[in-house]
Amino acid sequence: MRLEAIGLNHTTSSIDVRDRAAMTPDKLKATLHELVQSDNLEGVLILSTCNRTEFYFSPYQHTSAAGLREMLVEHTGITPEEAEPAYILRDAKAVQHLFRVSAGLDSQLLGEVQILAQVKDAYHAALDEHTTNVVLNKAFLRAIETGKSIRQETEISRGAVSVASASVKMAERIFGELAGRRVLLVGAGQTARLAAKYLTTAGIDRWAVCNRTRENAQVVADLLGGRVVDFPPAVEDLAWADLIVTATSASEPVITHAQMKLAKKKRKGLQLLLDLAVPRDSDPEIRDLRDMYLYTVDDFQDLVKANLKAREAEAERAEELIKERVAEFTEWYQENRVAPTIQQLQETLEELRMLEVKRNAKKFHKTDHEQVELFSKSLMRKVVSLMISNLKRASLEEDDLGMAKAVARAVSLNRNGDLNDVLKRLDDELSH
Amino acid sequence: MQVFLTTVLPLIMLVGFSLLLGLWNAPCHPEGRKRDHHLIRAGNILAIIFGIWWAGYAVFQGALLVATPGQLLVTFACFMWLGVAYTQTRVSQRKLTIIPLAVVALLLISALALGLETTSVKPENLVNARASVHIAMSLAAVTLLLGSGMFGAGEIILHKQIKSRTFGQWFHDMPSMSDLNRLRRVSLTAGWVLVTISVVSALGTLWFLPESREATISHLHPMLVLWGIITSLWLADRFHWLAQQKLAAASVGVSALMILLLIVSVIGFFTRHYA
Repeated sequence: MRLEAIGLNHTTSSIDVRDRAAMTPDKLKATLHELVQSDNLEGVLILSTCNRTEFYFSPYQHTSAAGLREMLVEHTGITPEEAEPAYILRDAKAVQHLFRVSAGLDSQLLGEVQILAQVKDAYHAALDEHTTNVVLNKAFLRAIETGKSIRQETEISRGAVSVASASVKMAERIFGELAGRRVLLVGAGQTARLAAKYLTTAGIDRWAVCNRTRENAQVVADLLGGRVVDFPPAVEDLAWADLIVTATSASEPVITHAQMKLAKKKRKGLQLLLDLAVPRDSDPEIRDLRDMYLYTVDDFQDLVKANLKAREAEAERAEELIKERVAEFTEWYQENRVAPTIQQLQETLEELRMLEVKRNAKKFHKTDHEQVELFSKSLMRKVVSLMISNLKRASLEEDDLGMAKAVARAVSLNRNGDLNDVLKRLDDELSH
Repeated sequence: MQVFLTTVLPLIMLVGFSLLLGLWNAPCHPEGRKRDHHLIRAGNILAIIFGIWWAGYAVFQGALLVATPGQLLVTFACFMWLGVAYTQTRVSQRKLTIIPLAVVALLLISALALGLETTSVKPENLVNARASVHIAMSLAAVTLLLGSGMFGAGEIILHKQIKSRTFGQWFHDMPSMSDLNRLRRVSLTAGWVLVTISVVSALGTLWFLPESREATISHLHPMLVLWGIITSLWLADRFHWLAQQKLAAASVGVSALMILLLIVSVIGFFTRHYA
């Protein structure tokens, strides 16, 4: 098979190395163009995310491991030593790796969904730059399809596996649709902003923000389109919110049981308090208040662990599915390598048929021309399909391209250029 | 026509419900929403057919379908499935569908076994038009209150999962707490309104139709007690006198009471008619 891959991910390299190896869209385009100029490459595709940088090549001849590492060093910002642990995969193993990546099985966060979109983006970028070939096209389209179907057929991507996404999941379990819900954000640091980002994505658009430094609260409130309230939050503000998110660096609880009890008297309905701070910002007794749910970072760790365990169980099923898909791809490839011969065979025989029909046209009555056309086409179809099925069988079952070469020679007519192309391709295939 | 209405169509519907039950029970990935969507649509079509059949048969018979035990069961099944169809417009939920679906299929089988024709009932035992409206309304109220109990049970299960941080299958698969709460409150309010109308109509019968006094008085006292309980629950819910979990538990309690009363009524019926 004419496919090989070299790459770095979270298992081979530190975040610093991965950061340097990652490519901007412009750099990626330029590298694609540069690489495809190489005499040995028919196609090239680069998958570059914050967690992995992978080059997929479709070469005429496989490149040596040293050559691939050299290429990686040349086109990324890493040193030869840093390229040493890079994985190099060829043929079916490269396909299997790509399918695993697409399904999220090779991700740091097992079953993550963003990678599928990133694989799609990488493919479209290469497609736009015309640097793919038939093998890369097929491999990536199958990888995208596999990534989708594995997520549908297994539960590999089910359940939240980070504290921020688990917070949103919990809020959704309590409130259902989050659009229209009111959120009080206590704190304006990185954790608070990250939680706000996730909640905004989930549909929250009514915000109140408070922070010890009012200016910082104002910055976050402006970003979210919310208002700033006093710190620590007043009882009225606590009562206003359906969801309270706390993430301050305070050493003492910012929200006390007494405050929350008063707030509960001023409001009806369920309330969720997400305490994402360490040490915690809320009094643990708040948990016992009526219609109140309090969740801390520790609680979310349990949820994340439970979900990860469930995903690991699903990973085994996903691996089985991937094995099947790789076998299908290999079968397609084996069939496809005799495609040029088949095309040549069809074109030549069709040319001969048309010439013969034209030459003998006068021997038939005009009213029979249509019948002659139909008869000759039918005869050719039968001959061609018999030959195609034997060519494919020889290629697939016996891994024999000798018959393909003989057929190519037999039907080459006077087009030596075409014949040489076809024979060169078949020789390349045999040399793998 | 009679055979078509009393046997053929209910049998076709029974096949439809059984098929739907099998499809809802078939294992599928939780994200197979497309299939769920088709099943919900099929359920809605069945609800429309059921509703049309029920109304058509009532017109054909000239009275609501509460004249025989079989008809009572089929009316109960019809109300229940219409309720499920409404619920599905609010929350698409597998677990909230399978149980009522099984109950509806069971009710249909029982109704068919008992027979839907009124010819087997003595004319003096046939209920009059006014009483049939009262019975139908009471049945609708019972259905709604049972529904409120079911949503209440869902709330309690989800609440326990969230509080105990167990995050089991129910945690992922149940509708949200707010959805369950809203559905419970809607069915409780609607059920309370119907029970109230039913009690008022019973009192009206007592006042305006002295000849029906004996039959009405026989079940007026338990009905008034039940109305008192339901009204207290509705008021507690309306004015947030209790925590949501306690209200949900109370709804489950009322449902259990309704089921108990239904069982007692059925036993009473069979004792009276077959002893």
